[in-house]
Amino acid sequence: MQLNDHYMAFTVANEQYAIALGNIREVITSSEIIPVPFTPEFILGILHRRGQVITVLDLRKRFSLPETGDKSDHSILIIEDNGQILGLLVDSVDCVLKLEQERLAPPPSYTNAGVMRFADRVAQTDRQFVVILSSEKLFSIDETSAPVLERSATAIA
Amino acid sequence: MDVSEFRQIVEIFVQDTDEKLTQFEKLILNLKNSNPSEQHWDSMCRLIKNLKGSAAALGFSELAHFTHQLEQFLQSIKSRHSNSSPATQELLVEAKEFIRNQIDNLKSGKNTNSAGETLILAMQRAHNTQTQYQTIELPRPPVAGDIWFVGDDLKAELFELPEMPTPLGEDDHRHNLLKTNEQESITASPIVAKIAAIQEEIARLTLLAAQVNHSTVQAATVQPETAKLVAAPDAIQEQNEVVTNGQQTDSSWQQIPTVSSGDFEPQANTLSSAEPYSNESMHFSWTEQDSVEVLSATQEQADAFIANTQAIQAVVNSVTPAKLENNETQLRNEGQTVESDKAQDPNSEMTLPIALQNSVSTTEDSVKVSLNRVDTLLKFINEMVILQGILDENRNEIENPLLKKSVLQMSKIVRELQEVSTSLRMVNLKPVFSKLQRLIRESSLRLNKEIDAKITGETTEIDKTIADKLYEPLAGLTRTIMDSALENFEQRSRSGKPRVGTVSVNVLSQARSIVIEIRDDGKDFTTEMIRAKAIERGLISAFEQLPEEKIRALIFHVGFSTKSSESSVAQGWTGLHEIATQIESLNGRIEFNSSREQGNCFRILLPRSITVIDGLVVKLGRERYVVAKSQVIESLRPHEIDVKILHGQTEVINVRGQTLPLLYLSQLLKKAPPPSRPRATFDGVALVVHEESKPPFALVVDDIISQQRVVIKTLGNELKNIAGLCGAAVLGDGKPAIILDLNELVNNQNDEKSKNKHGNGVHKAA
Repeated sequence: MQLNDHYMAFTVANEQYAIALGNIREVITSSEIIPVPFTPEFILGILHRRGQVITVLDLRKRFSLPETGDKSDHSILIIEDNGQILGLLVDSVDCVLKLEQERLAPPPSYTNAGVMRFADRVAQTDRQFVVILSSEKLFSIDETSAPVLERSATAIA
Repeated sequence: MDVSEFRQIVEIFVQDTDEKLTQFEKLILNLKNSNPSEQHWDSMCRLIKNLKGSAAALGFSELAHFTHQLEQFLQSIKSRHSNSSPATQELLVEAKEFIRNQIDNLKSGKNTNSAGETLILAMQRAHNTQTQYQTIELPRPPVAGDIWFVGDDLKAELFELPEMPTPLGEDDHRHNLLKTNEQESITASPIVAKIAAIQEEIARLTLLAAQVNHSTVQAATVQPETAKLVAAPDAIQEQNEVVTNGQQTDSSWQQIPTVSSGDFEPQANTLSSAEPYSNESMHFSWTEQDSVEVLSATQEQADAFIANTQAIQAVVNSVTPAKLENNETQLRNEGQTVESDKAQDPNSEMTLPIALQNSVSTTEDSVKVSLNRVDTLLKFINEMVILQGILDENRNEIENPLLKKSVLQMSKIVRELQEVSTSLRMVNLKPVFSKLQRLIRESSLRLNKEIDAKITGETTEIDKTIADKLYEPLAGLTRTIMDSALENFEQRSRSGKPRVGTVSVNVLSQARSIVIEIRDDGKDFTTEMIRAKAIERGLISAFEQLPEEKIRALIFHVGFSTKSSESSVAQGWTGLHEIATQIESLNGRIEFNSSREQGNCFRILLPRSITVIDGLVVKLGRERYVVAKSQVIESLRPHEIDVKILHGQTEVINVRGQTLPLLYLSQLLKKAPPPSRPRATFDGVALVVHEESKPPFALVVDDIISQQRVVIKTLGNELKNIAGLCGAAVLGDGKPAIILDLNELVNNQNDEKSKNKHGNGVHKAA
């Protein structure tokens, strides 16, 4: 199966996001997450999965989104990139989307706040606007690092 | 090159040759299928040439000789563009089998047979129209072949034995060696006696040669046994008895009569001075052969020969004690050996080689496995250990007695499996220290300082990852010491120190960690000097009162030493921060101490294995943490100890006369605010944390849950650099827990406190 244009779609704070399916290792619905001292708030803690200890981020906090209070149906996406593994706490995992390259656009250049810091592309599906997250950017955890300003030339497209 | 290094090299050689032979075999098989191209022959030649090179380099002259012939043979086929006849192929297969046999013999420590001669002849016959290779033929005495081995070994010894001295010193040494013997031989008796002596010497020499041939290879190949021998002179004594009882079953003994009767093939004609290797060996065999021929000739020659044989023998003798000892003092030892040789009983000289031979029958068989695969295996085993932990935890819930018993047994096996698998990654520190020794030797030349390196404990084993990364910091440290601490000759003599400076590296082995101590007898760098320099650098204020170990730790501070510093006593001492960082990245620690009497001493503490520690699982609220058991020396309940309050603010407890500050883990982890006022008691358990050379303290946790061996899981990059956290462990219920480094936690807190006090620290609110 050609996975290049398949994406796993999920919801955080009522917005839909997606990550390339190739970066998704697994989705788990429940696991006890152990908090880690001295970490920023968006690091939820660690969990153990098949002999590995995986750090879990709270995406909502990572994106600086407001709490909605709806915590019923949490899932943890385990993503993998370059041998690194990370867990992402999301509100719900929705479906696998097939998005052709033509339908993807670079993220808007004028905003680097919140979510867009981690955006790789954006896509317009039939119903809504999906931000495709870059797993690479998700792994760069450094809070202080300045958001990357690139592709500004092509952003107009 | 010392014994174990040589052994490792031989092992590598054996593995390597195995691979080459397999390739060679494939190429031979391909000959049958198709008309071989020139490249085909080329690649065969290349394989054999490589083999020849390594065999010659290691002193396996028989193999080198054979492969040389084989190479010539292949060359001649190639140059004539002849098609491979079945006979040729047959010959090649035989040749390959022969090499394989030789290698197998090498592995099993048996003497190599000389069946190669017939093969060489066959090869020569197969292409005897060719004249080219007959003339360059490597001479090899068919019977006295062992002399050749001696030659090579001696060569190896002569060049390799003095590990420390420079080439110049080596020459001197050899010169002395010969001179001593000449002097001795001058006092010897007239010609007749001399000839008899020569004959006797040759017989003895040959005997020794045969033994040395055997045993140096074996001694070199099986180091553990050698170590045993060194450790237990009794064993040697035993072997000695075996020898004197006449249980010499070794085949090489049977060659003595043949050789000692002077039955040397006069090979001199065939020897070519352009011979690319074993020049040294030729030298020796020439001397012997010549001397045999001219036995009745001039006195001078006889004298020279005796001197020569004795020199050889001296080296042979020195092989025995010196090679097995640490080679630091070899130079001196050898000188003594030469002198004492005369009086030695021939038996005692032969004892060791035979002893080695008897105790050592085979090399350890080894398989080359990629580290990746080992790591995969370890990963699975670690997973299994975790699962086993879960099973163990729930064993009491198992009703079925058989099942319960099985789980118990399984648990034992898993534990052993884990032990074994951890040891797979263990390597000894020898290669690292050999490199270090070379560095010291080279630097002492460069700096024009006489420096003696004393290294002990290099057989200590440590995880490969650590061993691989250890050389850098050790080299950096040694360089710093040699540059900054050790004085040159004039300075040393002025301060009344021995001429030669000493750097001693000592490895102490502890259960779960190793300590590397690097001492020197150079300029001391006292706490006061460090303090002065730190003040000068603005690291501390002149009024600041710090405990001594804190001051000493300042030399590892990033701002402590810079290359531009020229003013102070502490000139030099550069790059220590970097070294400390490298050591810390290996989960180790480095400390410095200095005193006028003892010189400077760097202590490096390293974990032996990076994967497993004995841990205490402690409870704090609803959370669990693991602390290294090695950090905790005891635990105390509130009723066992009284809490005192100093100055109305600091809580302390008194443990066996030592007053320890009482800290709370909840506060260190910023889980709870500091109490508004100190209390005279505590809830939970106080762990007394005391690691060597760190200030001790007591730490209150809610409870100790269990004590277990845990596998350290590294944390993701996002969590890697948080001070105080050194990984995670998966506990018996399959849930992870953070492993804390208590000393680091406390240090952090102190750092923050002092920063806050000065008002210039950026304190991140919890």
